[in-house]
Amino acid sequence: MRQYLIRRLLLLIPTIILISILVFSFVRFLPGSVVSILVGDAGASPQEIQTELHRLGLDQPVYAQYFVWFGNVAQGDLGRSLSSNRPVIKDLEQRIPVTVELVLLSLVVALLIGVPIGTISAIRQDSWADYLTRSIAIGGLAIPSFWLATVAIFAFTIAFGWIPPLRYESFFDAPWENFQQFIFPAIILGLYTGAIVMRMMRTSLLEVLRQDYIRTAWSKGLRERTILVRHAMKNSLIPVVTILGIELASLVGRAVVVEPIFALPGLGHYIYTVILARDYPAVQAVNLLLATFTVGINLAVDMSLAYFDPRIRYK
Amino acid sequence: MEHGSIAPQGTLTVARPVPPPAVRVWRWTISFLRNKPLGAIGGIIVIFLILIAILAPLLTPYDPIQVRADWRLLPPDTMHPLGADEQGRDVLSRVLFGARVSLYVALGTVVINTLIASVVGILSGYMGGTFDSLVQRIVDAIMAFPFLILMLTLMMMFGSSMENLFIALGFVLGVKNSRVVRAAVLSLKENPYIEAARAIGGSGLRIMVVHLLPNTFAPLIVIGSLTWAQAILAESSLSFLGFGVPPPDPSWGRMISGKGREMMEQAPWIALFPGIALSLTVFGFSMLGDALRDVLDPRLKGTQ
Repeated sequence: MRQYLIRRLLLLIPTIILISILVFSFVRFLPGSVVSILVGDAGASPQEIQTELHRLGLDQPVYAQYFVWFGNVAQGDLGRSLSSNRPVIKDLEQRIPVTVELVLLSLVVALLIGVPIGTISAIRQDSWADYLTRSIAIGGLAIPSFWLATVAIFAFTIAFGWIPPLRYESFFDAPWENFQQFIFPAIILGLYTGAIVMRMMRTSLLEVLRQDYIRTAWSKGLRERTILVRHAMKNSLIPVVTILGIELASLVGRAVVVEPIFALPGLGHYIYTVILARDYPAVQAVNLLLATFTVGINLAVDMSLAYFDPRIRYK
Repeated sequence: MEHGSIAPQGTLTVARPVPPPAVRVWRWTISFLRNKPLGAIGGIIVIFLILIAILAPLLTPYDPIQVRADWRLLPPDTMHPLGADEQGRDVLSRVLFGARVSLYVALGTVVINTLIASVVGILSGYMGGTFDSLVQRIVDAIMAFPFLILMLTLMMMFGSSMENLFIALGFVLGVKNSRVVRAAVLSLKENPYIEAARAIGGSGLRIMVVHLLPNTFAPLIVIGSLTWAQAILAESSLSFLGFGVPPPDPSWGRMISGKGREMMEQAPWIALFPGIALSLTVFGFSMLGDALRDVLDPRLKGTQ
């Protein structure tokens, strides 16, 4: 286990370095000079531009600039936002809890939908219930969340007189208001993941139910309920957990569509705002943060799989 | 030497005539329709959509981008079956021409995706060693970025246009899909015929192009067919956020954003119908892609 962990950690080093190079070069590919993007070129004299270049370290060779930037990032200095004129990290500190709450709630929704329906679909394979739920799942994957959100808000407004809140309420100040704000976006975000979980649960349970130890359990005369809950579901959940890890990263990405619609001030809303404002340091920082997060999640998934399934470690 | 062990018994004795290609394609299509009814529904939707995209100018008398002040927010009636939007443009025309935009971006994405996936996948898989490890770390790094956020960042850098959109989409999806091609090549290159090609002095390039490429067609078709749905969904999401297809071309995603969304209460038809068209399209392409995957490459079943 320790050897496997060390090997996986060593593989991370080149990946992280490449990610940082990609993020660093985002701004270099932009049309126009970096200085006009970073400082604005409204009426600056050549002298002023030269001073500014020197102040920002842009008169040094590109690789030297990269090392300076990487050194700053490694110390937690993600740069200063052009639009808010504050350190990006300060902006992020307020946004991250919102997205974490939204994503976790969406995962709960996805599991509540995906696991029971996937189980029913598998134990009643090829019944009408199976066909119905599978069709709904495929339909759920086809409906874009931004449209579903738009229609849902419209429907809620007519049915309950509900309107998207204008002001964000923190969970610790006003738990009930906070729940009301998060539950609808979480359902919309979670439906897609729920459909993926459902398909995975069905496939993996069907596979497990065909194995010898399940036949043994049947021939011992155990009840269907016991076989399902005690024997089959435990094993069939392993691939579901894997896919949840991967989906966690994708949920954060898809929050960029849902958060602005529901006026939630999270990370997705933030990156959308800074991209609209062409706030390059902030765009770089969020990309770097999210890519590193994905790498971390993948590592955690691999580690947990290796822990539960010793065969993986020796590959 | 036991020749009998190479093929199942009986197949060597009778030489059946091979039917002409047209007949084989027809038989394959019939068996596909019979075994995969959902895939057949998807296929019908896709054919219907292609027809709409080609025939759009004949199906509607109105210009999809012409602004008519006197038609502003007209509800659906016999003149405008799907109503008119806040600028007085006929919604049906925009939905029909939107199919063109969607398919154009998706086609560009699929072409670039297939190109990148095959070149990167075959090179990386065949060369192996340090080159392969380096390429795979780059693929890891690109795939670590959340897809939509990476696309938004690329569109911010290069500017919104349909061409930039499908180049960026094709590139990112192609890099991701090169993994599938690489995996296929890794097992293909262990075959004796590759060794034979090398033994008679075939160059690396020749082996990759003549021997490996044709054998990756099945995974490439599967990748390609699943990419259509992803490209259409991504295009509409980016257009919804204002970084996809620029105005004035009608895009389903952009029709749902902005005024269409704000006016959901007064004029729900503006955002409702493009969403239905979009969902049906993505549904059709996913169904067809899933079915093709099951038929062409059973090992990939349930991977995406």
